[in-house]
Amino acid sequence: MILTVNQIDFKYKSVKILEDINFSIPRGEITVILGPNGVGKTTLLKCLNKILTPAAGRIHVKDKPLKAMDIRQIAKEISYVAQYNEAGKITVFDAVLMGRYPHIRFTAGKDDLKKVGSVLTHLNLSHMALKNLYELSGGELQQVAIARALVQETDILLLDEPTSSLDLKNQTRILSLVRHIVRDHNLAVIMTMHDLNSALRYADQYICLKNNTVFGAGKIEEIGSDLLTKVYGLPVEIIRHKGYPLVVPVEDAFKAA
Amino acid sequence: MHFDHGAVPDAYIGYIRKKSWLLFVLFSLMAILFLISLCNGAVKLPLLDVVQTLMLDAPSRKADLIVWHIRLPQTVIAILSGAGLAASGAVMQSVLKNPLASPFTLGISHAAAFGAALSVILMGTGVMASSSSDAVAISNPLITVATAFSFSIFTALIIIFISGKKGASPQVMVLTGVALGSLFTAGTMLLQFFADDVQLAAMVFWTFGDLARADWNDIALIAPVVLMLLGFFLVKSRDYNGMAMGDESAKGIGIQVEWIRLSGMLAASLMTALIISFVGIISFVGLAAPHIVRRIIGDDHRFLLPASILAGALILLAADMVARLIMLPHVLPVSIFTAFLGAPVFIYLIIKGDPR
Repeated sequence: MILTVNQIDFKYKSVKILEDINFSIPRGEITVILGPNGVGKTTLLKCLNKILTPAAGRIHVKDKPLKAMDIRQIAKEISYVAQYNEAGKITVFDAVLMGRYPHIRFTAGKDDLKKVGSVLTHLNLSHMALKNLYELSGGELQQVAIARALVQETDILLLDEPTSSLDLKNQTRILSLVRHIVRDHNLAVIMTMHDLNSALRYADQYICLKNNTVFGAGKIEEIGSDLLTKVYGLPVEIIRHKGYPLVVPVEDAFKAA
Repeated sequence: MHFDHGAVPDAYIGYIRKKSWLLFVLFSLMAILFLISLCNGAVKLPLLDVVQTLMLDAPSRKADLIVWHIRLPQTVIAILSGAGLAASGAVMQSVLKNPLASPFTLGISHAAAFGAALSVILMGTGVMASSSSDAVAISNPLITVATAFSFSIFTALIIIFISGKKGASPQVMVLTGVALGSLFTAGTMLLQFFADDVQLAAMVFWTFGDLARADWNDIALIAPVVLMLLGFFLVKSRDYNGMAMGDESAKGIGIQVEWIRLSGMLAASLMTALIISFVGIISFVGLAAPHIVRRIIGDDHRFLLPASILAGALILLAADMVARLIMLPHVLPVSIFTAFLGAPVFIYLIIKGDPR
């Protein structure tokens, strides 16, 4: 296991957000964190690379305690793609180059620039290398953020709602891209997600949060409509269409409430 | 995971080369203006005389006196102040993520002015002096600098505190700056009301931004600090770039965002306080220079910072020359001309808004 989480508690101003969270993450798989709004999915994700510090518990990255690592060491092992990225007057190439930050002492060398070139080619972004970030669409900006995380050359990738601001085509494009990268490079991806259909289609493992703790976890094929009904408080059924799983609410949320 | 065997796009190499050229052009312009500034004033000197004097081979005692004792210190202080104020403005804009941040708009200049006035009235640092250029002077500039600096830092900390609060929008921050500025202006007025003639003259004299008052002793004190802080900003330019996609993204690549923000604000405040403690309030250079540069060169701090430094120096050199030459033999305070340049730029920014 590349990442293990033991008995994590997180409090925000004495309000409990997360309580007794336990799980471990294998290489080569996408793990999705599911759960209703405000349950602490993003908070949990941010605890994993010390953007937030848990009140209690232990996190180990490749058997090293996260507590003992500084933010730069962590950035060599774990990359992070935020849900929202600001877009300034800086080129795509330079924005992606920032992913080399934890590896660079003083100034970017030729190797760093070459790696950026390679990632941009890999993700089909070379044509926009000199575009400024503010000229990009939401989907393009998200791809740049992922490119930046990839050039960091970490074994663990955290994605916070990677598809929330994207249209259908860009959603599938980004998620199949992530799946390819995970398979090709034997990475571990942990992502939060609201869209259950995408989660069921692209993830390998799930962790369901309810009432501030882990309500259920396991292989994504084993996720059942009972569990989702309990977690989201709305009767749902999982059906299959042309082999793809679809989550369908079978009652009005208004009635269910 | 490893991404090797990539190539750097030729277009990117060309783009970097173009920006480096822009820096070179700015530097050359500054060097030319530097020489023009040394040639012009109440007495015109030929360029050849100036160059000879600079190379310690003065053609006359008059040239030696004018260049080494009057024009060179003033020109050097113009470059240092312009560079320092512009770099501070650029860094404040970046770490606070606010296009309207500058020492002037955030009330830091006003706080320094209040601190200086306070030192004049409480510690008696304003005295009548019979120097050839000024009737009133600050007798103990170090105390004045220290008080001005303390108040600037205090104001900067308030701004950092407010910007740290979630949802602090550019409007909130500039309004806070305006409020703090008004507060310190009112405080200064109160001190002026109770001051005697000499103290009042020292305070008012101090508030006029004027580069002529600095001599080599002052430069010996200012230059090392300004150069060190400029170096600090340039070294941190990668960190400022890393914060361009947001705080969380920056943390994700290993940047200590809070420390970068705090150290940037403290360094920018120290620079501002030091400069305006010696030359008085010079408005708008800190706001206008980085903005003009941002439009041309973009937000990449590896280029934005050096270009702002050069542009700030250029603007202040030009303003100083205009102030010295426009009403010969009278020399007007340079801050009048930086405001004449800065105010229209500020209004233009308000009308045009941020392109993003």
